[in-house]
Amino acid sequence: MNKFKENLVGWAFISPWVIGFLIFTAFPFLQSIYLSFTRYDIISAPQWVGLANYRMLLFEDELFWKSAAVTIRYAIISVPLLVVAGVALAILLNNEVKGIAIYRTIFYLPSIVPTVASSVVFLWILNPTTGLVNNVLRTMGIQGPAWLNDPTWAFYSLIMMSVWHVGGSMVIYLAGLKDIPAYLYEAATIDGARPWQKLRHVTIPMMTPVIFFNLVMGVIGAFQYFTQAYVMTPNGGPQDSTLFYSLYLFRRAWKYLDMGYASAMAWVLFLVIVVMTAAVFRTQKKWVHYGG
Amino acid sequence: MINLRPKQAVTLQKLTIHIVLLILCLPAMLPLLWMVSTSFKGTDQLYGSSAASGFTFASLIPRPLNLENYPEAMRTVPFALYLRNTVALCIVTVVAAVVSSAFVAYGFARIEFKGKNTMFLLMISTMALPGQVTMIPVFALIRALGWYGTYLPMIVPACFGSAFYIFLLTQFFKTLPQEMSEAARVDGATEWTIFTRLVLPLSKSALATCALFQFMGTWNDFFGPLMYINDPAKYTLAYGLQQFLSLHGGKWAPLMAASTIFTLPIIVLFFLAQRTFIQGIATTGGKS
Amino acid sequence: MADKTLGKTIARVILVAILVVGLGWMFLTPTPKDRKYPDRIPVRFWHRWGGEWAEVVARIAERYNQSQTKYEVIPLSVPGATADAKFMTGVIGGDPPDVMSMWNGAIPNMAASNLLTPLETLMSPADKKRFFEESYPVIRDSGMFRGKAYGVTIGSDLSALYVNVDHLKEAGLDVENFPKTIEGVIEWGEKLHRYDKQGNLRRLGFSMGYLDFISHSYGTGFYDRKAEKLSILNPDNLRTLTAITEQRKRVGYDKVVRFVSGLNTGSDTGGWPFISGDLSITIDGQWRVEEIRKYAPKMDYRVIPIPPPKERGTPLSGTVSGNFMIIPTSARQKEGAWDFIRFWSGFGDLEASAQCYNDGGWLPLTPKVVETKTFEAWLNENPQFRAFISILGSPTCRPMPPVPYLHFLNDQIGRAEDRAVRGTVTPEEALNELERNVKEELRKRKELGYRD
Repeated sequence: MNKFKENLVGWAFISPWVIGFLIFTAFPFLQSIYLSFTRYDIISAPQWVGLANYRMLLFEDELFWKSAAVTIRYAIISVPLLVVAGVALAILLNNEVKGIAIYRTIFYLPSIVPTVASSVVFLWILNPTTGLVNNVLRTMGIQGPAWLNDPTWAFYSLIMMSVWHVGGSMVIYLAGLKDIPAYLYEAATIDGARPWQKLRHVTIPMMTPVIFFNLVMGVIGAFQYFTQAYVMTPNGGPQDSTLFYSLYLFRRAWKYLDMGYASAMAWVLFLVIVVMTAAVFRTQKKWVHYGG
Repeated sequence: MINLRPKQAVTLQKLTIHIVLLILCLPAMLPLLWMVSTSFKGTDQLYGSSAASGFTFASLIPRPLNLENYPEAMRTVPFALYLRNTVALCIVTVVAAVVSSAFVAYGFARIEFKGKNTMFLLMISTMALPGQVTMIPVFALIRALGWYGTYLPMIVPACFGSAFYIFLLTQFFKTLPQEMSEAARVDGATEWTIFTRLVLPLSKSALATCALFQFMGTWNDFFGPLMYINDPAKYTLAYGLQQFLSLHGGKWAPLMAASTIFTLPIIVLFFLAQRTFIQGIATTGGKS
Repeated sequence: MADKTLGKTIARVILVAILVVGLGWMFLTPTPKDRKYPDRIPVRFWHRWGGEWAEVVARIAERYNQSQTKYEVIPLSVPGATADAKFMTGVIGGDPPDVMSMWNGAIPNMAASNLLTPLETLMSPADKKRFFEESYPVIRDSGMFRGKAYGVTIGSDLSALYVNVDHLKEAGLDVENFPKTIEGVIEWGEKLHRYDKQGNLRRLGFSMGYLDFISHSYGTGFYDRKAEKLSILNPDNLRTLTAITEQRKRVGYDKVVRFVSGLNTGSDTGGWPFISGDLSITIDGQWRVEEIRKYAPKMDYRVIPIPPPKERGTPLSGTVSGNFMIIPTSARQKEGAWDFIRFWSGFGDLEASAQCYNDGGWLPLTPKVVETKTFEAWLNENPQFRAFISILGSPTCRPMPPVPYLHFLNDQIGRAEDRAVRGTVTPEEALNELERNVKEELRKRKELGYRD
C-alpha cells in the first residue's frame, strides 16, 4: 500500500470522530469563547460587551467565589478521601478469605446505583427525624444534625454520598493490586519486612500509577459535579452551602438567561481544570512509579 | 502477648478481616436495604412514633407488608413507559457509540498515517473538557437543527464515537498481533475486511466493556433529558424519577418504590455480566 | 462441584426470568393515550402543580374541553424547582407549551427578554374592559410589566394566620380576644409550644417568617411606589427582619428545622401539619381553606389577617403571588391558549370560572367572580376565606416590585432572610448585603446594556 493511500485510509477511519469533534466540540468551543465576551440570551443576537463578563465575575460576584469555594473544597476533600478509602478497601478485599467475592460485590454494588436514584435514597436516609442515619445515631445516643437542612452538614452529606460510591474506584485499585508481581513481596519477606513496611515500600509505590489516574479523573469530575447537587438541593442548599459551580452556572444560564455570563463562567472553569490537571501532572515525576 | 502458632495466627488474622469487612458492609448495604424496605412500608411505620425512635434491624422489616406503593408509583408516573424509552434509547446509543468508536479506534491503532499522534492527543484532551463550556452553543446548534424535544441530541453525538471508548479500544486493538494484519494484507484484504473479519471478532470483551459503559451512561443520564426532552411521553427513568421527586417530595414509600424499579435492572445486569463489569473497570484504570 | 454449577445455573435462570418479565411488562404496557379528542386542535398547557393538585388542574382542563368543541387542552405538570429552566429550554429550543401557568415573580424577567406574548393582542374589547377596568388592581398589576399585560391569574395567593381554636382553648386563650398586634401573636405562640422530655418540639405554637410578605405590615416592603424604585435598607424592613430573627431565636432555630423536617409533609394535601395538629398558629396561603374543607371539615379554626406591629404598622397588608397564565411568543396555538385562559380566569362564563377558582381555593382576577352564585355558595361553606378577600381589597396589599430582575431580587431576599434567621449575620448586615448585591447586579445590567 502506498503512503498516500495509507494516509487516506487512516483519515477515513478516524473521520467520524473528526467530524463529530468539529461539529460538537471544536465549533461550540470556539463559539463559547466569543459568547463569553457578549451579552446573550439565545433569542436575540449576541451583543459585544468586551471583558465585562469576566470582570464582573472575578471582582464583583460574591456567588461566583462562593460557588468556586464550594467546588474547590469538594475537590480537596472528596478526591483524596476517595483515594484513601478506595485503596484501603481494595487492600482489605485483596485478602483470600472465604466469601471474599461476596464482600467485593457488596462494596461494588452502591457504585452502580444510578445517580438520581442514590440521590433520592440519600434524601430519605438523611431526613433529620425519620431518616436511617439519624436513627442509627439515636441508637448510639447521639442527636444527629439536620443534614441537608444544615449549612455545615449539607456539604458533608454530599461528601458522604460520594464515599458511598467508593466501590467503583475500589475495583480499579483491586485490579492494580493483582498486577503487583508476587516476587516483590517474596523479596520483601526475605528482607524481613513487616506487613506495614511491605505496604509502605511495595504496595503503595506500585499502586501510584493507578492512584494517579484516579486522581486526575477525580479532579476533573469534581469540578463538574452537578447532578447530585441539582437533585438534592436544586436551590444550592442552606446558605448556598451546596451551590456548586455548575449549579450556579446552570442557574445563570437557564434561570436568569445570562448566556454570555454563563459562557464566561464555563471558560474560567475550563482554565481552572486545565491548570489543576497540569499541576497534578507536574507532581507526577515526584511520586508516581512507572515500570518497576 | 500470647504466642500463637502460625496456623492460629492466620486464623485470627482472617477472623479480624471478616469482622472488619462485616462492619464495613453495614454502611455499604444499609441504604439499599433501607430503600427496598421503605418501598414496602405503610404510613404508620414511616411517620409514626416508632419512625424516630432509633434504629433496630427489625425496623428494616415492613410491618405490615404494604404492596400498595408500587402500584401507586406506577399510577402517578408511567414508569413502564419511561423504562421502555430508556431501554430503547440505551440500545440505540450503545450500538451507535460502540460501532463508531471501534471504527475510529481501528484507524488510530492499526494504521500509520500523517497527523495520527496529534489527533490522538487532541482526542484524549477532549476528555478533560467540561461539558459546561460547550453547553450553550450546542444547545443553540440543536435548536437550529430542529432537534429539540427529540432523542437526537443524545443519539447523534454518540454516532461520531466517544473519546473514552476510542481510547480504550485503541489500547486494546494495539495488543493484537500486527503480523495477523500483515498476513491478511499480503493476501489482498482491505482494511475494512481486516477490521470486520479479524479485529472485531477478537475484541468481543473490549467491545462488551464499552457497550456496558455506554449503557450505564445512558441509563444514568440526567442532563440530556433535562435539557432536551419536554414531552412526558419521552421522559427517561432518570429524569422521570427526578420529576417524581419534585412533584411528590414527601411520598417517600412510592418514591423508594420508583427508585427500586430504576435500580433493579442495573443490578440484574451486573449479575448477568459481572465479569465484563469488573474487567472493564479494571482496564480503565491501570493502563494509561 | 456439580451442585456449584447447578447453583449458578439456577441463579442465571432467575436473573433471565426477571429480565424477561421486566421486558414483557415494559412492552406490553400500552402507551397512555394523551389525546382524548384527537380531532381537535391541541393546546399544550404546562403548570407547576403536583400530586392531588395536578388532579384538580386536570379536572378543570377537562371541564374546559367539554365546554367547547374546537380545542383540546392537554395539561402537563412541570415541577416547581425545574419549571423555569424547562420553560426556557422549551421556548428557546423551539418546542414551547402553548400556555403555561407561571409564578408571577418570573414574569418580568421573561417579558423583558421578549419571551412572552403581550396578551392585549389576543383580547377582545370586552376582554380588555374586564381586565383593565373590572379586576382587582393588585392582581391585574401582578401580571403586568411596563404597561403591558403578560400574565393573567388563574389563582392568586395571599397569606394570613391559620389559628387552631382547640389549641387556644387548651392553653386558656380565647380566639375572640385574638391579639391585634404581631407582638401579641408571638406571645401567644410561646404559650402554645409543646416539648417532649428531651426538649424537642412536639408542637409548634407559632413561627414567624416570609420577610417579603410581612414587611408590608411594617411599612413599604421592598419597593417604594411613590419614588418608583427599590427600597431595601429602610428602617421598616430592618424592623421586620429583626422581629422575625428574634422570634425564631426564641424558639430555637435548630429545633424548628428538626421539628418541621420530621413532619409528614407529603405534597398529598392531607399532610399539611396544621391539619394534623402539629402547628397551632401558622402563616399560610388561602388555598389551605379548601384543603381543610376536604380533609378536616370538622376542624375548628380561624383565618386572621396578619396583624400589624404595635408601632407604625398597617393592617391588611401583603403582596400577591401566585399562578399566572402566560403565552410564549413562539407558542403555536395562541388563540386556543387565550380561549382556555378566558374560560378559567373569568372573561367568559363567570359561574364556570368561579368553579375553577373554588376547586383549588384560589383568589380570582375580578370581583365579578366573587359575586357569582357559585363563589358565594362556596364562601358560605368556607366563611374563613373571606379574610383573604378583605386583604385583597386593601390598598396596602401590593404587587411585587415591577423590576425585570425580580427573579434575582426574590432569590436574594430569601437568602437574606435565611442568613439572618440562622444567625449567620445580623439582620442589619443581611439587609446591607442584600442592598449591595442588588446594586451590584443593577450596575452590571446597566453596563451590559439592559434597559433597567
